[in-house]
Amino acid sequence: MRHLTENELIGYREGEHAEREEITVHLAGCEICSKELERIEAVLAALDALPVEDPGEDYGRRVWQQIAPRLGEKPGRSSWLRSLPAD
Amino acid sequence: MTRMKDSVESALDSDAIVVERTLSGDRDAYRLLVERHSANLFRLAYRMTGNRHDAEEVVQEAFLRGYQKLGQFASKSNFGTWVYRIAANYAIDRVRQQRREEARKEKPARDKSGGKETDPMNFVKDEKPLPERLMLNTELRKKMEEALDALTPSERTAFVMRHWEGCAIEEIAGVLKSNSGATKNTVFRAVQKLRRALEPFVTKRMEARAIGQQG
Repeated sequence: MRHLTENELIGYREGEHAEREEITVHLAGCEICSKELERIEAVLAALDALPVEDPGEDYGRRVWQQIAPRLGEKPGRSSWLRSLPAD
Repeated sequence: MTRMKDSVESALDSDAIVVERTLSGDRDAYRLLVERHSANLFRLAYRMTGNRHDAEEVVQEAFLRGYQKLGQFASKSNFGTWVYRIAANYAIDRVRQQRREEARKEKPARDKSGGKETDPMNFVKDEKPLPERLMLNTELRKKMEEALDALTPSERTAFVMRHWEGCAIEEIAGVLKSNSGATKNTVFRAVQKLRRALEPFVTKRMEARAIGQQG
């Protein structure tokens, strides 16, 4: 089997490659491709360490305080539209 | 396992009940939904926008829109998923709008450079090599934020929803208003761009750590 392209390796990593088993077998025997996958993984692992600010334990309460004065008395109810997805 | 399932179902039931109470005119019932789902929406919005101010605006707007459209919400579906999608839709629209405004302001400068400053490949090449072991975590963090900012709004949304939020391709496609094939390609392109932009710095940090461990 030829070496895998970057796109194929990303697709494999995302679980979105149709020939998953073939690729797994190739990776087990190919140091070049397995090292290439490791380099992609290393970047994604570094991104995992990027923190999300903590909005605080009372965040939900604060959101409510901010939006409550802007809410109408009653939400829009239109029964014939109830099966439509959110846009 | 059964207990966990029961507990999840019970949480979903209570959301559905709260939606019904809100629709019946109990406006304050909506508070429960806001308090339950704000943190989830904030995490998504923060990753999509990259800053706290915009993330907070997105969360507020998502709940306001959710309230206005509550009559359209199919009570058999999950309120958390529904309002999450409203937030994702609003966040990507907001980021796109901000990019358009920035582009208008920066147009003269960009025309001179041919738009190269937006390409993460170019910004990495332009960086002067940093001495080994000086790549501190804060610097890598800055590079990661810059690399994410250099993605298009669609690429960033696709990456955030797929990589960090674990969303299905179809769900992301719904937000991008695209098909599954194109959405997959958007995820792949985002990963490629992030790799191009960050691999030199990630490798340096790993090498510096290895040297540090040896010394």
